[in-house]
Amino acid sequence: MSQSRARSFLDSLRGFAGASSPETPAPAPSETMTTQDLLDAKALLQVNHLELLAETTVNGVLSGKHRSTHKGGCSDFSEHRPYSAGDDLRRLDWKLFARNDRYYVKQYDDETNLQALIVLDVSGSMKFGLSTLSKFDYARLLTACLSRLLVRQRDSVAVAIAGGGLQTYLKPRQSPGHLQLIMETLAATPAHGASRIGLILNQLLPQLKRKGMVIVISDFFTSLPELKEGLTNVAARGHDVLMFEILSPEEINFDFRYRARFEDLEAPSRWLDVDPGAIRNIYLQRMQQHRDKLHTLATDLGCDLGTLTTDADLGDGLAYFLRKRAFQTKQKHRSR
Amino acid sequence: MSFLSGLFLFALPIIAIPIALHFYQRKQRDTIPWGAMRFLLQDSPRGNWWRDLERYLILFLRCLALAALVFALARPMLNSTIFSSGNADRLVVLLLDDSLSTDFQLRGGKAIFATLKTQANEIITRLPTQTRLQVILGASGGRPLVSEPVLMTSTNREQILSGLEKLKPTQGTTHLLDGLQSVLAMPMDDSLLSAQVFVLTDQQPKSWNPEAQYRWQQLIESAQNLDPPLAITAMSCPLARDAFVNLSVARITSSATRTSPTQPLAFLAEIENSGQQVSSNVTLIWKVDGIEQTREELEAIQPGESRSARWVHQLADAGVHLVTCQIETDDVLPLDNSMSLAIEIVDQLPILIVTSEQETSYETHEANFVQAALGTTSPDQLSSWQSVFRPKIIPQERLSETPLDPYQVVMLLGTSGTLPEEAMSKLRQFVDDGGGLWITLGQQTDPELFNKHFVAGGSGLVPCQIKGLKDYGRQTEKTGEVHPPEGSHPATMLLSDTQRLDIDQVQVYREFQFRPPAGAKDHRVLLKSGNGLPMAIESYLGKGRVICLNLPLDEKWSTLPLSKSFVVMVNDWLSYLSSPKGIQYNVMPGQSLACRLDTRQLDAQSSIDPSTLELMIVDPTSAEIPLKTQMDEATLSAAYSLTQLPGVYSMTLAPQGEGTEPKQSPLKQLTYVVARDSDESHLANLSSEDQSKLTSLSGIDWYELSPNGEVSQAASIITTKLQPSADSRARTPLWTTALICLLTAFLLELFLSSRASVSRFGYSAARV
Repeated sequence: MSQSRARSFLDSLRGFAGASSPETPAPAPSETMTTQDLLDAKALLQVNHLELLAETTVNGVLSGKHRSTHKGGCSDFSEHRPYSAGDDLRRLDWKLFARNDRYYVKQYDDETNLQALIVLDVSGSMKFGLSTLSKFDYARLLTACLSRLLVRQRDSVAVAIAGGGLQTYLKPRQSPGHLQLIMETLAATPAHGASRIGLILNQLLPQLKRKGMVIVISDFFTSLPELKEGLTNVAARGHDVLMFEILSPEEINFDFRYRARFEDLEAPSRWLDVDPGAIRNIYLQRMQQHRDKLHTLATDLGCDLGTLTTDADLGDGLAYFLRKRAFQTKQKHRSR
Repeated sequence: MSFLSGLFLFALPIIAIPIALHFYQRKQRDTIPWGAMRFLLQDSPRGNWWRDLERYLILFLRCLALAALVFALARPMLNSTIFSSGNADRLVVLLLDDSLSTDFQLRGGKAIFATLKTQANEIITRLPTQTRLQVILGASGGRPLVSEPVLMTSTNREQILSGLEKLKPTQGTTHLLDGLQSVLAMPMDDSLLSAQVFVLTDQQPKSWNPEAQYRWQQLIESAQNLDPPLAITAMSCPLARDAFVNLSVARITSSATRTSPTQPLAFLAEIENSGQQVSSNVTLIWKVDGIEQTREELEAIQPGESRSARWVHQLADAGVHLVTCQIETDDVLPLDNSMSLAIEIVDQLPILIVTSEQETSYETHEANFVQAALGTTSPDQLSSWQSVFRPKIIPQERLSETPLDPYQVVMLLGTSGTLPEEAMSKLRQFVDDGGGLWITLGQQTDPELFNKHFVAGGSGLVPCQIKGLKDYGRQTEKTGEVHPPEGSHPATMLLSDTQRLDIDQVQVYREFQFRPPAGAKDHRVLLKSGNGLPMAIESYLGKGRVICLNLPLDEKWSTLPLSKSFVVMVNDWLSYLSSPKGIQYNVMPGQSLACRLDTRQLDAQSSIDPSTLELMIVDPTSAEIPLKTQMDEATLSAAYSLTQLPGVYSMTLAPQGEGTEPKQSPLKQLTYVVARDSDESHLANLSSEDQSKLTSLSGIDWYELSPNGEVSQAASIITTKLQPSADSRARTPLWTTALICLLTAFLLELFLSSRASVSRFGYSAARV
């Protein structure tokens, strides 16, 4: 990681306004990352004290930090409801009966563990990274970080590697050994092909038996209608959906100076000779339109969308996102 | 188009640098693996054509800026009439020779000057309208016919042709080098595209001065360095006669030019035959103020020989008289058949003789000898002959109280060597104002006092110190002698004639010896002793002159007062000393004509306001020129310096006429004579050697005119010369335009580049 940063620093010095020059060769995607590389110590340190909590209730089998869909008796009092035939008489509130001469049953919120699914986009476009770490590497770090965070809070984590299709699916587990498996899978996964996130989310629906959390990590350079369909299906099943949009600064600013050949990372046979300056405005305009649509989509579906750029520190970005999310969750509970 | 610094054009290929960079950048293309390809693939072609145009426009502007820089450094001059203004684009100067020699009568009785005028007429007629013309007359020292070059409108053309028609040959001499120099000095307008000078002249060697090759080269170089260059075309007309007679009055002299009414004057005229044939008998006429006085028959004169004619006449009336000697003959150059001399007759010229006290007791003191030489034995008793100088004798002690202004010359005889301070300063002031001072040393002279007060270390009245007294003794045979003076000095011109005078036989018994002057420039030795030491020293102080003689004018020290030379010496030296205070009526060309008149003596009967007096001079071409006068108390003074043209000048003083009132009769008329150069009568054509020298000068086009004056010659020359050539078509400097172009291209490029940069990379890129 430190080597990458040094390289990015040097690249930023050579580039214009923090961008790499076209002369700078793109760094090769780090497809040979080790499991050790995937655990960013600094990032982990920054988010270690934070929790990734589901905003919605989740179905779990173990006791955990997340509110369960079940109303158990050994947990926090939730509400009273009138007694109906068949209710367990042990839950009758006799004190209330003595005061009102009516039967009420006490209800309690159960807390259970979370089952989270991290969908990592490994399409070709994620390989891009000129002056900074590639989006793919950044996303892998984020995946590893989130996995560890969830396992640490005794939640089970499933990981889906999504490229042109669903490449790998790791079933939800909670054990440290599962975390190790995730790391190894991430380290061994290459990025290639077109992005079909929406389609893959649909494919994963059968795996999402329990209400839980779905975390999608991608640049979202994909078909938004398809994505919308997939996310809609996921959200409709009550899953709490988190979207991490990973972008590189060059994609946001597009401040290339000289004429260059742009090769499509998702289809290497496709390239385009362009004068960046000539099409910058229209590129930025289209990029903004795409992101606006993505944000609208996320808002409409109640998904939580966070944007991380590869030139920003992962720990800072993730910590900010978790704090913000924790604050929003607290606000929601209070309002409820 | 021409370039003043054409070497800079070798830097022109640098405009390829932006083009090379442009194509290099286009060719240099890196490959960027790109993820967000979907946003590029939808690129719309809208606006691309403008970006391409803008890119190529910036490239063009960069090339243009570099090209403009190179062009500005190369200093281009555009040769085109497109940028010429509506003013005259061509200056033509006619340098017309109107010297005495152009009066040469060709066969058929037509003068060369008429031929030159015909050709000049043809040139003027054929000049295009957009031409400024000036006609310069060579013999008058470059006198222009019109005050400044005039555009060839029909009115101006007619006026110049009319003025040309009235021109006549003059008695002057044309120096073509000087004439062309005056053309070079003419102010050239910036808008002029070409300048031509046509020299119309004869082939008189003196006019051409072919020996002055270096001056000719320099003149041609200066003409070519002018902006625009001055093209010189010489059209000369030869003397097309084989043998001819040319009699001329070469010179006329008089025994005095300022004298008294009682003194007869001896005039001497020299008649010269400068032709190649023997002349017939010549009738010579003497005139005074245009009125014939006498005529005389002279025998035939051989070619190259001259004959003198003498006439003695007494002019009775005071004033300035014009004495003319004229010959009646039918020769080829009528204009040199007469010559005039101005003689001033004055009643008297007062001089002051200051004697020492001791000498006044002697019977034969110096003043007596001086009076005898002037024809006056005493101030009251006049002899039959008397000089114009009328002496007044005073003792030395009265000098301080005597006003010196009325006197022309002060003679300080036998000075003791010292004078009162007041008298000394008066004398100095008198000399400074133009008076003459004649000092003689004598018995009472103390050398030490003289050296102290009169020499005063070089700042006194006399430039040389007295070394001592040399006494040869009266009886010894080894007396001192006087060396005959040189004839070049006007004061000793006659004294130098040892055949008629006896200055060389004068014996000197005693004399003071001057320390020979060394290196001083403001004095010269008039007389030397036999051993080479100076006897009479002349020095200049202010406007006046001082002569110091080393012995007294009496017979005790030398036999000078007893010699025949004494009368001549006294009169000549007094004339010489008095001349600065007097007026020169016979001058050389270029010398100023001065006039000083006492208005109180003009007309005692009429009461005329001196401020209303008008002074007018009439030059030899009969042109009337008003003169500015200056009044100093009652003395009216004026000067006229444009006297390059020889001949008779007449200055008249008359009251100003008011409005249309006719001019009143002149109160005073003065006549001046500017001498002509007698060499101008020596007619000759340029030798073949001289012709080859002149034609070898590159930069002058030579044409020989036919003496018949065929107009077709000038017509063909004019057609050739006034054809606008490629070089002379325009002289518009373009480097200012190139610099403006550079600046404009630079600013435009800056604007477009910034705009393109903002368009491509946003304002953050523009700020960087």
